[in-house]
Amino acid sequence: MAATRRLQKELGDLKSPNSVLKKSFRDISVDESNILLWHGLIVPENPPYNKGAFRIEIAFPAEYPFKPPKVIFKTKIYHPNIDEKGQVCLPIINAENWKPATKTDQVVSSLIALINDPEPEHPLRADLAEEYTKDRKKFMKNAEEHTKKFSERRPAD
Amino acid sequence: MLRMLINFALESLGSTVSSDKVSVDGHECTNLISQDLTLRRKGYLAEHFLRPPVTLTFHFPCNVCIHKVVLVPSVGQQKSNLLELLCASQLQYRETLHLSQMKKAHIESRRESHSNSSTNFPPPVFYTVSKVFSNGDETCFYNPKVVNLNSELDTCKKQIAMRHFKSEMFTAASHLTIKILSTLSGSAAALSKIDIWGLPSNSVQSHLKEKIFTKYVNFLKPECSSSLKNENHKQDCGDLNISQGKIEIPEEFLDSLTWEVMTIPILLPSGKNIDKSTLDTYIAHESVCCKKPRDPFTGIEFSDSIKPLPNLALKARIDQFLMKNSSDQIIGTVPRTVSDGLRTLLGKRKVTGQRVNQNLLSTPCISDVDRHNTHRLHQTIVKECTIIVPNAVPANTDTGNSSHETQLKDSLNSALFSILHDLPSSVNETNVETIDVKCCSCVQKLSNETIVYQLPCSHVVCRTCLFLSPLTIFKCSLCTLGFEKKMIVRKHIL
Repeated sequence: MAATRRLQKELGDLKSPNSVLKKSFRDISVDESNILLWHGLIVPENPPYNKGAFRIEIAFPAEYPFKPPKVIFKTKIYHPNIDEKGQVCLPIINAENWKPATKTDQVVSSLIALINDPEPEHPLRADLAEEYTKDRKKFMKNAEEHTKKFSERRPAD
Repeated sequence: MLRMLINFALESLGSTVSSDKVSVDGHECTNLISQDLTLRRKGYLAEHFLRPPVTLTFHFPCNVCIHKVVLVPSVGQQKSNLLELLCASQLQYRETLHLSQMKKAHIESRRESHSNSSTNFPPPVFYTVSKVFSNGDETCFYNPKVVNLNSELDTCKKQIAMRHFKSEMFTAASHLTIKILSTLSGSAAALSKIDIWGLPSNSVQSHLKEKIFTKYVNFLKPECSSSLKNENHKQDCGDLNISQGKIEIPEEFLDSLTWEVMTIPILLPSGKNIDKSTLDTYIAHESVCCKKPRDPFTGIEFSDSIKPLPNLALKARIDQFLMKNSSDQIIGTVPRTVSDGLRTLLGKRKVTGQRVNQNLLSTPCISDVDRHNTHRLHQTIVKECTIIVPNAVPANTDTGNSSHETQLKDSLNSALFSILHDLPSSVNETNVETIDVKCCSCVQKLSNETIVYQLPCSHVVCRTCLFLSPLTIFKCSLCTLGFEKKMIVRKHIL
């Protein structure tokens, strides 16, 4: 399987202490028997999401890197670009735009960027996008409450 | 014990070094006093755009009676010419500091308190003690009062005495500065090695002296043992290379998409190398979405001028690497291109490793996508081999007469030929249709540049043949049917 060697390499890069994402993407765990399924913890920097951490799942297809991975949020998040099922609309892993040269750390960085700065222009949840653009204060309040209620504890350091 | 000279250019003793100019990455001034020998060897190199003077100031943990200073003012071809040696002695400051530090003489904390308390003391006053035109050679400054020239300085070419009317400048120095005043035409200021040999001066308290001695001895001991360890380790590695193998495969041999060793490296327009099978798989995946073949890194479509090419030089290097390390278990299973000739040579010899087996049995090149073309390819290769490669022996003929060497050579020739003939794969893919399209009267292959007409019997004819026939009825030479010329329509081939 073409994916194995590449995924091992990418996993090694992400877990290395030199990784740029070591603060914001942690606890990367991969099932021994299935390297195609990764779990990780996103630790956003910007309010209102900086009160918690969010668990995500990255599922790689067997055809990786020729087909893009899928990212799913396991933790509920109050975000215009992420729907109730945890699906995300990330342009970089869209089948149309996908390039085999795109690495997982790029995908994760783009995901973190999206969480830190929502894009209400292309929402998955139109109601939240409207709230975000029209009543930012209310959105912040709701999102913070939601984050406190559902998100995971942030790692200590 | 106390007679042993100490090299004060050593981080672990508490010496510090600073420079007034920025250095090249990896050649910081801290290299000069580093415990790491590889760093030490690199030395200090100022940025090339900086002009002298460049000052390097060493700060000792205690006042030092300097015996000699050995330095090499060059890094590679970068040479410093004119050097000036300056010393400073801060007796009072040192003494008070030592008194206050009697209880906790920890080097680290002392260094910190240095920086904190140094503002309370006047800055050190430097005096020139020596100056030399070194021309990049190893140079030794010695203290004429304590060093016996004949016995201790025999190895060094250039020997310069340090002189100053204030003898405490080198009998109780707290700072030492090397000033690089000029460099060899256009080169950057460089200093690759400095050893400052001396003893703690008489004014230093005895317990401090002892501390520094024990530190130095501790430094020497692990150095010996670690260098021994390193050697052992190297030997271990050597053994590994031969027997079990943990051989690092160079990154340039790996496909930048799949991180597997490349079998047939292809150079993409973007400058990256990927395996032919990867490119084929990528193009196959893309064609599902009706996209044209393009560079997987930049997304730019391939054209006649911008297209992937086989990287034969890299291929040769990979093969050489694989050949050298073929005894290794992991590398032994890496797929390789195997020609027909070699295949017959190997016969039904059992080969360990699934992938190799697969290769041997399936096709001269291992690409999965190509497998359906194998038969056709196989035949053309064998045919063309006999024509083009003069001394090639067709694979299926009796090989009994020729020697092993010629067979090997032939097999390599045919392997190379198969690769050359087969590439670039993406171009083949687009031309699949055109290969089948032939003019029915002149039986020439039609490319997308010639104007082609289709007969009602679904055969095609090129424009020249059609207009050469003077009659209004054109006769298809394949099915011998005649058609009126108005029934013939233009056909576009991709």
